[in-house]
Amino acid sequence: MNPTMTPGPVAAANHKESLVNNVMETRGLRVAYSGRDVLHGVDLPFGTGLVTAMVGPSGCGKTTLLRTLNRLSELTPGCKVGGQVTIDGEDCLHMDPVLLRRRVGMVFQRPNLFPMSIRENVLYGVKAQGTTPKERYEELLEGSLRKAVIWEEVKDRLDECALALSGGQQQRICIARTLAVEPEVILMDEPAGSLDPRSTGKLEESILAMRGDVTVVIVTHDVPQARRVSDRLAFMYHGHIVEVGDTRQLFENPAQDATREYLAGGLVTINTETDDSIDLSGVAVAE
Amino acid sequence: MTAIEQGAPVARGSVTGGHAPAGLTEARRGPARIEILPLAAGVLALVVALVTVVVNGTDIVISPLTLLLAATLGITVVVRRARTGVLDRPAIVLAALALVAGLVVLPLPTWLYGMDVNGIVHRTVVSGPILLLLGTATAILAVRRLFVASPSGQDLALAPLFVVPITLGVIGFVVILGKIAVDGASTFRLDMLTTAWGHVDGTDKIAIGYLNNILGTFLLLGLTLGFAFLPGVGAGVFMSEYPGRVARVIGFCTTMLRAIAIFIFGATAVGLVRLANGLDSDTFLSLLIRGGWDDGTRIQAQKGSFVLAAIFLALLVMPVIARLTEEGLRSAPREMREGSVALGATDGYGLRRILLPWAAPNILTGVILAGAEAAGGLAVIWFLAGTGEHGVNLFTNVTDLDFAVFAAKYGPRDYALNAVPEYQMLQYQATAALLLMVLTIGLTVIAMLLQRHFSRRYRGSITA
Repeated sequence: MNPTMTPGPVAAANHKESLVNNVMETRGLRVAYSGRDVLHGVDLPFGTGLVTAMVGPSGCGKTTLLRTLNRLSELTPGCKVGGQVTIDGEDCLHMDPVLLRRRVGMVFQRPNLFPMSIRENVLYGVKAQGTTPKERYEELLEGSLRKAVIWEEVKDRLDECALALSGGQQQRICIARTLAVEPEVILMDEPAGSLDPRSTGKLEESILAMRGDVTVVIVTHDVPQARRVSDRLAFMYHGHIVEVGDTRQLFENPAQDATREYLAGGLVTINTETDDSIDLSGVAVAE
Repeated sequence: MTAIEQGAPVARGSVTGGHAPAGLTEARRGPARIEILPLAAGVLALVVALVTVVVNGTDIVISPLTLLLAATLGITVVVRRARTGVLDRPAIVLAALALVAGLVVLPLPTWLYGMDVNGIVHRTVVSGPILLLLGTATAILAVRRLFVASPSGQDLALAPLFVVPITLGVIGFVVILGKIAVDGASTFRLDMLTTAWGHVDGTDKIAIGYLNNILGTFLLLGLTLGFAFLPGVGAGVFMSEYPGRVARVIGFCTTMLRAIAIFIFGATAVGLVRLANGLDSDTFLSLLIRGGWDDGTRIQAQKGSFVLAAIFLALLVMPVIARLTEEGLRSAPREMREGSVALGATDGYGLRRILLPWAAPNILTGVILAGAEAAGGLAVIWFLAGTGEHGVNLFTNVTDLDFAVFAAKYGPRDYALNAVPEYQMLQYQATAALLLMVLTIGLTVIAMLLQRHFSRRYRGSITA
């Protein structure tokens, strides 16, 4: 999408972000599992072509937020979603979820390839959607494997079972599989969570390679990783966005003390029960 | 074993005052050699008790053996108390039980009358199992005491719990299969596989062969599985993938279908045949239900067609396929399901490409079990089946090997086998049983190979 085009309703609502178009955006997003609130009204824009990282302590709602963006959270019984999620200005929560997931791909915490060949895995989504002519299959296969920085390793064994690969390779095949359906947004839920440092490096390489072509939203526990791969950073705590902004700015000059503490040592000392001085309900956007 | 050998000298050296020196646990001191005694007695008792299953001659030693168990246990209790100061309560209880049992069994008459049992019972029926139980318990206890210094060795002590029932099972299996094989093989001739049982050219002479019974078994199996497969898999998919009230109702129905006694299926089928008796024998409905054969002038109605039998057998086996399909689908990892959904695949596509292949080994297991049940579902076709002498097709009288086994001796009056002397029937019965056994074992082996192939093909290195 051209960033200089006329701002749509989404971008207009976010005048601070007006230079960058937001392909996706949440407004007042609330999610509850079996009556227990997990997200308390989250407003978060995702700039087109940018890598947005979400960090925060365990249980702060990062993964829930991510899974709500492609409505995977609906598969969990007892999940209730309120508020608004838009993609290109369209209402995500009221469109056909299958169509939404064709535009918003996802890479999971642990590689979850199917027990099929590498080729079948990568083309699974393409074939499932059935809108791509067969002639493009080979091109899509190679292209997405190259973008996921795995082509050289698997090009001679495309018809072997994908589950024989190492964990790191499998995770990059998962990325290729997601890229093959040419989504607008890719969600990544701690994609390096189960990988060794070397595989993590390769994975980050593939994330950086797709920057600009596709919008990436990544959840991670690894603060240095967020710094390495992301353009924008959101710090979440207890179902709220504490602060969101340009990654470098957030690391160098955060507006909230909690953000500084977390990014420095991964520890947060906000006591939400007693300390009302920190306003967690609104989004603090770093200038 | 080295642990025991190393432990033993320490134990010997420390037996001085009769009580354990402070700070040295029993486990560190090692076991006493005396534990070998109850072990030997226990194993001996086990062997004798197992032999008693097939031989009556062991009767005379059972009571002394029970008392021997009590004695050896008593000795170890005394020795253990002296060495370590520990009072071995389990051993005391066991010894007391053995003592009482030995004293009760000793004066029993060889044959037991009365006891509200209409008949007589040999005393080994009582004393044998007692000896088996006490011998097993004593052996287990003794091994546990022997391996007191080696925790992993303690697990070994539980071996008799598996060995005894397995031995009993294998003995039973070998005896039954051996009997069938020997009896069946004695009258088996190769031309039985190519001849159909029945009258030779309208005479009273009977041609002996199982061709139509074998073909009938295959036809019945094929039809039954054909009828049961799609509804079974469908019900399984529904129960697993669309949970809710309807799925619960379907689940309940399939369970209830299993709970119906097999004979009820047979009786219902007979009722249908009775209803069809009013029909002309050459109408389609009559052929469908009763079956028929062309005697040259007109269609003669029969007692029940292959299709009818297969439909009722399918009702019987459908729940098996449904349950195993459901189980297989539920065992699919959640990550895999989400992976498919997240790629924009519809539920139906994921079911076709991922979930059903994943469940294929389970579904195949269901089909194997269903097939085994159909091949042995005699109660369903009991009143429907005939000799099969008028050929095997969808609309002729149902028959299979199962029925041949039954009918050779107990078949209905008009069964052609009744033209054969009784002693021969018994032998032919065994031959039919042998053929059925070979056929089912053969089919099962093929199915198991397929299952392994499916597992590798559709689950990759993931094993569930």
